[in-house]
Amino acid sequence: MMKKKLPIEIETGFEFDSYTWVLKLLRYFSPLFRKHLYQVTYKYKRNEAVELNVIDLLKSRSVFMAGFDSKQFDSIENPEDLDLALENFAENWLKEMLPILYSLYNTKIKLNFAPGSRLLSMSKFLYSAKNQKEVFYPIISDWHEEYFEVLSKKEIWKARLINARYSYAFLAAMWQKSPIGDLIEFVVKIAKK
Amino acid sequence: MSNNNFPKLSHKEMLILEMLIGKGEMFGLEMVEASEGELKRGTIYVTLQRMGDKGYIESREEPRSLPEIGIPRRKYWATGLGQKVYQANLKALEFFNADFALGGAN
Repeated sequence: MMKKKLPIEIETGFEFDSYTWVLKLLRYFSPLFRKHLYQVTYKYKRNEAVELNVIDLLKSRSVFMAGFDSKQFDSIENPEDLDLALENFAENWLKEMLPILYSLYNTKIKLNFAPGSRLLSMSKFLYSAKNQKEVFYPIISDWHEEYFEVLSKKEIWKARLINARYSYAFLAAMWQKSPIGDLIEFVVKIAKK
Repeated sequence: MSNNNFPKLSHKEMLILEMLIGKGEMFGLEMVEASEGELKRGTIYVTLQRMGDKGYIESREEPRSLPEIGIPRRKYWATGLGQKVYQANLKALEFFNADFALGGAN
């Protein structure tokens, strides 16, 4: 099987009039979707025919979509059901964005790993589902909250800073949840007494 | 009667319970921002998990609204037990401080 590489970029043309590209992407990457978090970003060129308020709306979301998890697809085994689930997902996802995307041309769409994706994969391997749910997922959730907020303002340097800060925070949480971390905490507690 | 099982709270736990009792439901990130540097992004969820295990707080997932998608955020609130333990610790702290001040004055 050919190895799929990220990021990938798609350039839409004037004829762009549906979300089929998303479906193609989702189907192509469906094996990978089970393992990682993704982010979709786009760069647009202004269409002169587009009204200003649409551009304003777009500017506020020129980088959009938080990383999303493939959890919802994990239990689906039948390929046809997976196709249907992905289709529903894409349809819901683009419901609001589609009217805006219609009015663009030469839009560059990029699919990439979302920040924290690799760290989360690592923690999935090392820690229990309870720890995932109660410790690591909330960290990733906050990470994306802050990251996508500054990214939508195109503050790239700030987004990088947030990535660095949260990578450290994630590793700190992993350390705290590790048996060695627990042991050191216990020794420190005894020493203090 | 002696009670060795008095539920002593750490400074971070006191701070979290104080915020949750005062403001109701909160996200982890809101607590980090409101604590002005006392709570850290990497450790708050470990503390919250421990507090949840002890029954002091509860939480639920808050799904994101479209077009935002992603991992749902988690909202936390103090339970009845959490509020009781907080009040008991606060009273104990007040008593200790008053006693200490009295001892210091003598």
